[in-house]
Amino acid sequence: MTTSEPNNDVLIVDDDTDISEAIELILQSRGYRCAVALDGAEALDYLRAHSLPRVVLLDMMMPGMNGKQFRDAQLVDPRLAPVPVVVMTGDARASTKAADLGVRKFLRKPVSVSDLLAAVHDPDG
Amino acid sequence: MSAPAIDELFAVMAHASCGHRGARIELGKDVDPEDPMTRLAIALNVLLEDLEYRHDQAQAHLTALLDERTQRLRETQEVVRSREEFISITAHELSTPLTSLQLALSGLRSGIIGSTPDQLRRAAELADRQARKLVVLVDTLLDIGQSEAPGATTLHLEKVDLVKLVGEIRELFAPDLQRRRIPFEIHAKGPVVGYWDRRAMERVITNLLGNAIKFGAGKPIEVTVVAHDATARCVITDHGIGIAPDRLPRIFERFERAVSADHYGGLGLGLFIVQKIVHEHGGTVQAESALGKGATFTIQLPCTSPAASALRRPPEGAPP
Repeated sequence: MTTSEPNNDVLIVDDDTDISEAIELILQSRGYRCAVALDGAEALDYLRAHSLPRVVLLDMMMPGMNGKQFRDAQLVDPRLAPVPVVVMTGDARASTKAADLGVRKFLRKPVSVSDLLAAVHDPDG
Repeated sequence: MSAPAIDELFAVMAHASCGHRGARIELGKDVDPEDPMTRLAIALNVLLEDLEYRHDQAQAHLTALLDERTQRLRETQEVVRSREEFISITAHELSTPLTSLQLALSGLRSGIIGSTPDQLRRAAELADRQARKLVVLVDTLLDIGQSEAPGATTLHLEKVDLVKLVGEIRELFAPDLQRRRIPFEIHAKGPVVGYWDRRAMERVITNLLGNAIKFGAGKPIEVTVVAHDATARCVITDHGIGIAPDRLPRIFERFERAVSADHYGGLGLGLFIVQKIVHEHGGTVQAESALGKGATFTIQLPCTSPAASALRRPPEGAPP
């Protein structure tokens, strides 16, 4: 990814590679550029080595570093802390889970295309 | 000592009726047992004694009943809790492939995906993989529903090449293996053919390969398939996180998980199903593992299952 204005980069963090690919297919078709990380640690490595994306789409349950652990590490890093995060979870308590992480926006799996595009278009909204 | 006065009797009765235990009419040693007041006092004391005894009995019975009901309530609450947990996990497991399936199909239907042939192919393959994952999940849930009823499962035995089957299932996992850059090798000298239930064996191999990828920490996975003395042997080895020694003996139990649910999804049924299916085929499955050193699962299956010979026997009167 390279720095561009407006920033069209999206980081997808999910251990299910099919979900990442489905999201990638949708977002790429809408002109977004996607990077994929399989867990929180990979996501942190990516963010530290690249320009910051417009949004991180974060799964909660992952091997290695899970969504919560990623968020904890993100928030203590001043460079990474401002990057908007959208939590993706199949959990019925999705809003509580997102709030626990200090995240306002969440996508409840199964995710609809319109919700996905809206969340990526306006991650802070 | 003279016989008790009527007032004394009333006083004791009033005391007892307020719930005081041990309230008795005092009788001296030298009372006249024939005196009507003495006899009445003795009768009242016996009555009080009997009432307290019956009260104690009733109390003990109630306490036992309450304990039993409390225990039953706890058990019911536990059943409800584990059922709710199972439903929640099942919903999560179903929602994962459904998410990909819905995105792919909605993307195609709305025309968002499909501007290039490559995109169309990727979306179609993705949707197909999710449908297969859902079939495995539904079969797993059906297996659980049937598992308590002996003989409920009917095996549809047919000629299956285990080497080919492993190869086909490897293809299902190919995108996952590729994305995770996991080296995957199948070692076999030739076809290993037996009479097994194809769909059930697909579940066995899918569960074991899925676990090897899921818990394999991105390290190489090897599968060896051989036949010896009419027994097929399939060994699946990963070099991932491994299983703690205290968990190892229980991994084939229903709902047993060797790992934290905060990090790894799954119904906790995969290995239970594997063992169930393998046993139904008259085979065995074993696990060897150490924490941080990966895991090896070995399945041994008779190439001709006990029921297979009956199934393949031609009907009476049929030409040989």
